[in-house]
Amino acid sequence: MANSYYNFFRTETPDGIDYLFITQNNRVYTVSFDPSLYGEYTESFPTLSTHGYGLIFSYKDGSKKVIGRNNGARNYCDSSVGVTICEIISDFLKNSEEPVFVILQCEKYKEEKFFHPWYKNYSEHSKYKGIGIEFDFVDEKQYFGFICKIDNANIEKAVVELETFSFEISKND
Amino acid sequence: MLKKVVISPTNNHKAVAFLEDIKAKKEAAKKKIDERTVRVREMLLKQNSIG
Repeated sequence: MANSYYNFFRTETPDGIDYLFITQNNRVYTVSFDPSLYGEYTESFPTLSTHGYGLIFSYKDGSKKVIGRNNGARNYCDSSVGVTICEIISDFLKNSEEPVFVILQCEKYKEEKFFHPWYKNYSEHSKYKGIGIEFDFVDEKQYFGFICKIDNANIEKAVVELETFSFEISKND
Repeated sequence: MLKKVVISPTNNHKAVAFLEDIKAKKEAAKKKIDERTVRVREMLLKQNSIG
Protein backbone atom coordinates (compact mmCIF):
# COMPACT_ATOMS: atom_id res chain seq x y z
CA MET A 1 0.00 0.00 0.00
CA ALA A 2 3.03 2.34 -0.02
CA ASN A 3 2.19 5.73 -1.56
CA SER A 4 -1.39 4.67 -2.15
CA TYR A 5 -4.49 5.50 -0.20
CA TYR A 6 -7.57 3.73 1.10
CA ASN A 7 -11.00 4.29 -0.40
CA PHE A 8 -13.04 6.62 1.78
CA PHE A 9 -16.68 7.54 2.32
CA ARG A 10 -18.08 11.01 3.00
CA THR A 11 -21.11 11.71 5.18
CA GLU A 12 -22.56 15.11 5.98
CA THR A 13 -24.69 16.23 8.93
CA PRO A 14 -25.49 19.68 10.40
CA ASP A 15 -22.78 19.03 13.03
CA GLY A 16 -20.00 18.51 10.54
CA ILE A 17 -18.62 16.53 7.64
CA ASP A 18 -17.15 13.10 8.26
CA TYR A 19 -14.97 10.87 6.13
CA LEU A 20 -14.41 7.23 7.04
CA PHE A 21 -12.03 4.58 5.80
CA ILE A 22 -10.91 1.15 6.93
CA THR A 23 -7.34 -0.11 6.87
CA GLN A 24 -6.05 -3.55 5.99
CA ASN A 25 -5.71 -4.18 9.74
CA ASN A 26 -9.41 -3.62 10.35
CA ARG A 27 -9.03 -0.20 11.93
CA VAL A 28 -11.72 2.32 11.03
CA TYR A 29 -10.56 5.93 10.86
CA THR A 30 -12.89 8.90 10.99
CA VAL A 31 -11.65 12.26 9.72
CA SER A 32 -14.07 15.07 10.57
CA PHE A 33 -14.29 18.74 9.72
CA ASP A 34 -15.96 20.69 12.51
CA PRO A 35 -16.93 24.34 11.80
CA SER A 36 -17.35 25.20 15.49
CA LEU A 37 -14.14 23.80 17.00
CA TYR A 38 -12.26 27.11 16.99
CA GLY A 39 -15.30 29.38 17.13
CA GLU A 40 -14.45 30.61 20.59
CA TYR A 41 -11.31 32.32 19.33
CA THR A 42 -13.04 34.73 16.94
CA GLU A 43 -11.37 37.81 18.34
CA SER A 44 -7.98 36.45 17.45
CA PHE A 45 -8.81 35.09 14.01
CA PRO A 46 -12.18 36.08 12.51
CA THR A 47 -11.28 34.88 9.00
CA LEU A 48 -10.20 31.47 10.19
CA SER A 49 -13.10 31.07 12.58
CA THR A 50 -15.64 32.15 9.94
CA HIS A 51 -14.22 30.10 7.08
CA GLY A 52 -12.31 27.48 9.06
CA TYR A 53 -13.07 23.87 9.85
CA GLY A 54 -11.25 22.16 12.68
CA LEU A 55 -9.76 18.81 11.72
CA ILE A 56 -10.47 15.95 14.09
CA PHE A 57 -9.49 12.37 13.54
CA SER A 58 -9.99 9.23 15.55
CA TYR A 59 -10.05 5.50 15.07
CA LYS A 60 -11.75 2.37 16.33
CA ASP A 61 -10.42 -1.16 15.99
CA GLY A 62 -12.51 -3.98 14.67
CA SER A 63 -11.81 -7.60 15.51
CA LYS A 64 -8.20 -8.59 15.01
CA LYS A 65 -7.32 -9.53 11.46
CA VAL A 66 -4.04 -11.27 10.68
CA ILE A 67 -2.54 -9.90 7.51
CA GLY A 68 0.70 -10.76 5.73
CA ARG A 69 4.01 -9.64 7.09
CA ASN A 70 2.50 -7.39 9.74
CA ASN A 71 0.72 -10.27 11.45
CA GLY A 72 -2.15 -7.97 12.27
CA ALA A 73 -0.01 -5.76 14.51
CA ARG A 74 -1.78 -2.54 15.42
CA ASN A 75 1.23 -0.42 16.10
CA TYR A 76 3.18 -0.67 12.89
CA CYS A 77 3.34 2.50 10.84
CA ASP A 78 0.82 2.24 8.02
CA SER A 79 2.03 4.94 5.64
CA SER A 80 -1.22 4.75 3.68
CA VAL A 81 -3.11 6.27 6.62
CA GLY A 82 -1.30 9.61 6.34
CA VAL A 83 -1.63 9.59 2.56
CA THR A 84 -5.35 8.89 2.88
CA ILE A 85 -5.83 11.74 5.35
CA CYS A 86 -4.12 14.09 2.88
CA GLU A 87 -6.39 12.85 0.09
CA ILE A 88 -9.41 13.45 2.31
CA ILE A 89 -8.29 17.01 3.10
CA SER A 90 -7.84 17.64 -0.64
CA ASP A 91 -11.29 16.22 -1.36
CA PHE A 92 -12.83 18.40 1.34
CA LEU A 93 -11.15 21.55 0.01
CA LYS A 94 -12.09 20.74 -3.58
CA ASN A 95 -15.73 20.07 -2.77
CA SER A 96 -16.42 22.98 -0.44
CA GLU A 97 -18.90 25.45 -1.86
CA GLU A 98 -16.86 28.44 -0.67
CA PRO A 99 -13.11 28.84 -0.07
CA VAL A 100 -12.34 27.34 3.35
CA PHE A 101 -9.42 26.63 5.65
CA VAL A 102 -8.72 23.32 7.36
CA ILE A 103 -7.34 24.14 10.79
CA LEU A 104 -5.31 21.52 12.57
CA GLN A 105 -3.56 21.13 15.87
CA CYS A 106 -1.59 18.02 16.72
CA GLU A 107 1.11 16.73 18.98
CA LYS A 108 4.24 16.29 16.95
CA TYR A 109 5.58 13.00 18.23
CA LYS A 110 2.26 11.35 18.94
CA GLU A 111 0.56 12.12 15.67
CA GLU A 112 3.24 13.09 13.19
CA LYS A 113 3.33 9.64 11.66
CA PHE A 114 -0.19 10.36 10.46
CA PHE A 115 0.36 13.96 9.51
CA HIS A 116 3.94 13.82 8.31
CA PRO A 117 2.90 13.98 4.64
CA TRP A 118 0.64 16.99 5.12
CA TYR A 119 3.24 19.68 5.50
CA LYS A 120 5.46 18.29 2.75
CA ASN A 121 2.53 17.73 0.41
CA TYR A 122 0.79 21.00 1.02
CA SER A 123 3.83 23.24 1.17
CA GLU A 124 5.17 21.87 -2.12
CA HIS A 125 1.90 21.25 -3.93
CA SER A 126 1.01 23.97 -6.39
CA LYS A 127 -2.73 23.81 -5.64
CA TYR A 128 -2.59 24.00 -1.84
CA LYS A 129 -0.89 26.01 0.83
CA GLY A 130 0.04 24.87 4.34
CA ILE A 131 0.90 27.38 7.04
CA GLY A 132 1.84 26.28 10.53
CA ILE A 133 3.30 27.23 13.85
CA GLU A 134 5.36 24.82 15.87
CA PHE A 135 4.97 25.24 19.61
CA ASP A 136 8.16 23.98 21.16
CA PHE A 137 7.51 23.06 24.78
CA VAL A 138 10.13 21.50 26.99
CA ASP A 139 8.71 18.00 26.81
CA GLU A 140 6.58 18.07 23.69
CA LYS A 141 6.04 19.84 20.40
CA GLN A 142 2.73 20.80 18.89
CA TYR A 143 1.66 22.03 15.50
CA PHE A 144 -1.07 24.55 14.92
CA GLY A 145 -1.88 25.75 11.44
CA PHE A 146 -4.09 25.55 8.41
CA ILE A 147 -4.30 24.21 4.89
CA CYS A 148 -6.20 25.86 2.05
CA LYS A 149 -6.35 26.07 -1.71
CA ILE A 150 -3.74 28.37 -3.20
CA ASP A 151 -6.41 30.54 -4.84
CA ASN A 152 -8.23 31.24 -1.57
CA ALA A 153 -8.71 35.02 -1.58
CA ASN A 154 -8.42 35.21 2.21
CA ILE A 155 -4.99 33.58 2.58
CA GLU A 156 -3.16 36.79 3.47
CA LYS A 157 -5.74 37.69 6.11
CA ALA A 158 -5.52 34.20 7.56
CA VAL A 159 -1.71 34.29 7.69
CA VAL A 160 -1.79 37.64 9.51
CA GLU A 161 -4.32 36.25 11.96
CA LEU A 162 -2.25 33.16 12.63
CA GLU A 163 0.92 35.21 13.12
CA THR A 164 -0.88 37.70 15.37
CA PHE A 165 -2.33 34.86 17.35
CA SER A 166 1.05 33.14 17.72
CA PHE A 167 2.61 36.44 18.83
CA GLU A 168 -0.11 37.08 21.40
CA ILE A 169 -0.06 33.58 22.76
CA SER A 170 3.73 33.40 23.02
CA LYS A 171 4.04 36.57 25.10
CA ASN A 172 4.99 35.92 28.69
CA ASP A 173 2.22 36.38 31.24
CA MET B 1 6.14 28.05 5.62
CA LEU B 2 6.42 26.83 9.16
CA LYS B 3 6.90 29.34 11.92
CA LYS B 4 8.53 28.04 15.07
CA VAL B 5 7.38 29.48 18.37
CA VAL B 6 9.37 28.46 21.42
CA ILE B 7 7.25 28.48 24.53
CA SER B 8 8.08 27.43 28.03
CA PRO B 9 4.96 26.19 29.80
CA THR B 10 6.28 27.49 33.11
CA ASN B 11 5.89 31.12 32.08
CA ASN B 12 3.18 31.02 29.46
CA HIS B 13 -0.19 29.96 30.72
CA LYS B 14 -2.06 31.36 27.70
CA ALA B 15 -0.48 28.96 25.24
CA VAL B 16 -0.90 26.00 27.55
CA ALA B 17 -4.52 26.92 28.27
CA PHE B 18 -5.28 27.28 24.56
CA LEU B 19 -3.79 23.93 23.63
CA GLU B 20 -5.42 22.20 26.60
CA ASP B 21 -8.78 23.77 25.71
CA ILE B 22 -8.51 22.60 22.10
CA LYS B 23 -7.54 19.10 23.23
CA ALA B 24 -10.58 18.95 25.51
CA LYS B 25 -12.89 20.24 22.75
CA LYS B 26 -11.52 17.66 20.34
CA GLU B 27 -12.06 14.83 22.82
CA ALA B 28 -15.66 15.95 23.38
CA ALA B 29 -16.18 16.23 19.62
CA LYS B 30 -14.77 12.74 19.07
CA LYS B 31 -17.48 11.25 21.28
CA LYS B 32 -20.21 12.95 19.23
CA ILE B 33 -18.53 11.89 15.99
CA ASP B 34 -18.33 8.29 17.20
CA GLU B 35 -22.05 8.35 17.92
CA ARG B 36 -23.09 9.77 14.57
CA THR B 37 -20.77 7.55 12.51
CA VAL B 38 -21.40 4.27 14.29
CA ARG B 39 -23.58 2.85 11.51
CA VAL B 40 -21.10 3.58 8.73
CA ARG B 41 -18.28 2.21 10.86
CA GLU B 42 -20.14 -1.04 11.46
CA MET B 43 -20.92 -1.33 7.77
CA LEU B 44 -17.23 -0.93 6.87
CA LEU B 45 -16.18 -3.54 9.43
CA LYS B 46 -18.82 -5.94 8.15
CA GLN B 47 -17.72 -5.45 4.53
CA ASN B 48 -14.08 -5.92 5.52
CA SER B 49 -14.79 -9.17 7.36
CA ILE B 50 -16.62 -10.53 4.31
CA GLY B 51 -13.90 -9.37 1.90
